[in-house]
Amino acid sequence: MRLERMGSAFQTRISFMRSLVRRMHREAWTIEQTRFDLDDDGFGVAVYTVCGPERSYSLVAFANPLDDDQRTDRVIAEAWDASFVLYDGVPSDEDIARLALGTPRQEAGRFEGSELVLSRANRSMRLFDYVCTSLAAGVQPDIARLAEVGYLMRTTAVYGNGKFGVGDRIKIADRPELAGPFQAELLTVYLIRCFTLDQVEHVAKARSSGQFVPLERSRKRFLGIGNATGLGMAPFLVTHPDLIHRWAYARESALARVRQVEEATPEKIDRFWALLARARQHLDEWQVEDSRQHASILETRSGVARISEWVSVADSPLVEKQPWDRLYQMAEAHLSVESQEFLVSLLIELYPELVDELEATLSSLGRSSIDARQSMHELRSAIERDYGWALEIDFERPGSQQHFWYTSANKLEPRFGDRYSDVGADREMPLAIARDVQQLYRQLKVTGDAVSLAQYLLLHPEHRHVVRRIQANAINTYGEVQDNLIDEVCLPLHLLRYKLAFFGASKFDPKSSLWTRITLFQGAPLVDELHGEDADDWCFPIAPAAH
Amino acid sequence: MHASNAELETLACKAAVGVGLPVGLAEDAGVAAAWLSMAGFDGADITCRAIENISKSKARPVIVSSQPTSFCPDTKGKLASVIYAAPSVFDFLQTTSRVTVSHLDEPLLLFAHLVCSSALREMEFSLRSVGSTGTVLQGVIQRGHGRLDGLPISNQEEKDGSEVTVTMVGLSEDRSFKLTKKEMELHRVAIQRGVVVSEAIWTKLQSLAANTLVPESATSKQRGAGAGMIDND
Repeated sequence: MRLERMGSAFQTRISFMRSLVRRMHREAWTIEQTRFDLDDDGFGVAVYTVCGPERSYSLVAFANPLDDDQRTDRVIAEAWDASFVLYDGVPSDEDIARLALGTPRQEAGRFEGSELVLSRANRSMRLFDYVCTSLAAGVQPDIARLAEVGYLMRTTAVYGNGKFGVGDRIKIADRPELAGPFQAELLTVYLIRCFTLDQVEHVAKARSSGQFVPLERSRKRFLGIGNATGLGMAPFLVTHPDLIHRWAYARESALARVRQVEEATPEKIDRFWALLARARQHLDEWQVEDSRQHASILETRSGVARISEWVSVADSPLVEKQPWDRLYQMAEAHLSVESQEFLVSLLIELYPELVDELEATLSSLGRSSIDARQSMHELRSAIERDYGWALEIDFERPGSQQHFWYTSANKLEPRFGDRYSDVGADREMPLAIARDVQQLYRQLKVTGDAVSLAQYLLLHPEHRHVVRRIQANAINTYGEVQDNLIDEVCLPLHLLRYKLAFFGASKFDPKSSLWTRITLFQGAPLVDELHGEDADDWCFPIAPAAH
Repeated sequence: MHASNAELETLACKAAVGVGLPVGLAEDAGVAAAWLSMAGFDGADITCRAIENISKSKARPVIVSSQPTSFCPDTKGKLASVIYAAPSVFDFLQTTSRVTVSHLDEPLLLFAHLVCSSALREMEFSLRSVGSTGTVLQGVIQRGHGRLDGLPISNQEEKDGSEVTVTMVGLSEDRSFKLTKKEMELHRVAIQRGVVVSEAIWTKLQSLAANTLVPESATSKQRGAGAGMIDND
């Protein structure tokens, strides 16, 4: 698990959004708009209730006017265009009245166990009004304009697992429909997408003097939900090594299963070509301003073009034994890391029958305790075996500890500081795992083997968290980000992208090394398409053909 | 007020870090606080008191006393901090059958820690604590479950702490722990609605946790998150 590769990840079939939509399709979930009290400007309350085989959940949406000078994607925002909760069941009028007080205040409100997720979103000023105006005038919005943004609203936080009083993860962990990672959060986002599509049509209709047309279906499907993601996601990856191990292990297992396929059937080859064509268009439509990501996209376009060439010739790897393994090896030898990862996503897509079951292995309770029976010698050996990468880092080198991670007193916004010029390094978050492991290792060598681990930790409790981690990661082989996360060259963006790829995000659009925008559920089936045959076929979303 | 279990666990952990405790100990204290509350005790209050015992220098880290499996505070006349002691008690019990702690400040938090840790290591213990005023706390801990004998334990501070003995009991298949109806109901309510916490204690924990936060500055606000201030696009 190196940062560069993590920062090149793409969604796959076992990404969490894909699992959710597959379940909705498989279990014939229904989604109904049960309340839609919006004024002509789209402000008011709406409720969407989703019914699965055993339970119902409701998105309660509050849309409010927002001054332009208050519209920010950052955690430090205090007002939003819309705010949401996912309610466990069907809320009563009293519940909605209570939620109307707290939800628009977000972190400043208090919530109850009956709420499972808290979220908010801002309109895309580039697109929302444009789509409204177009529909009100009776014309469909230009597809190129839709492709430029990809969403009508952008969520700026999606909180679950007990935050601000909402229900705990353990409340829903044994419900099959929400047992997978972030399923409640992503269900919320899917429902927010429904709301934004209904809201834009509602406002357009109200503005129209009779020419209104609804948004054409393929354009609608092409609109997802944006998300602005900052540093909050990065510490999660470091503090949940068991979970990250499971995600990475599942993905590696999926790839390994595909690489072991002995022969590519004509059907699989046809499917590969179809996906490749779609993927190429997707890459062509993926436009960003960030120069680093732009260069990477160019490389990936060229990489995918080379893959096309390799499989077009008579002695294509696809006619060999273990064709996908051969193709992967060629990519590994000749293409950029991001091109390789793109191919991984394509290959995994080809074999639902081999990989989809892995989605059941992605959750973890995430607790571990120290095995005090381990000897000091064994602990040192474990460090040498599993943390050689950390021991090799020269922390005396200027720049090796340039940064520190911290939480700001301003609404607890996670930030990344410069140790030598910014205030706050004494309140650093414990994310410098490599440095901590190195310090422990040095001390262990001095301490020797005469004391027990229990005695050592009694005297040195400052190493307890690292010892616990080292022991746990002897099993969690993919649990560690094997890079120095405080180095001057560290790009936190890589961590964000890795997690977002597991969510199923596409169109990564970095705004800095600490911040990215993405699109969620772009191309995903609309509510009335959830039961269609193509409900699971929406990877690498592409713009629809103009009608 | 109601708080979620995760919220209490996280806040207790941050409050402990806020008074300078090592992260590993703080994490354990947070987990124990949440278990206590789910089991019907005032986990927030007990944990807050244990954290404040350290910040106010009433309690100190523990050291091994004259006996190799007995802990005492590292400073005479002080209490033994349960936040320091509890993880080590569990560590020692993995290689020895009995551990004692003298002048322990909050034995209930030790009990909770052992319950949580026993689930992960499939262990079984008995715990007996005698407070300086004679209050006896006695209970069993078995693979993630714990039950105290007799009436609910007083949540009162013992001025000179408690003398605690924890003894490992061999795992027995035939003594499987069955939750009582009351315990099950407490657990169910805690999962459904979260736990009840006094607002005053919550505020106190928040104030201790605030010591982990970096005060806002113009530079931090502009540069620290890598994002602009306005997003009208």
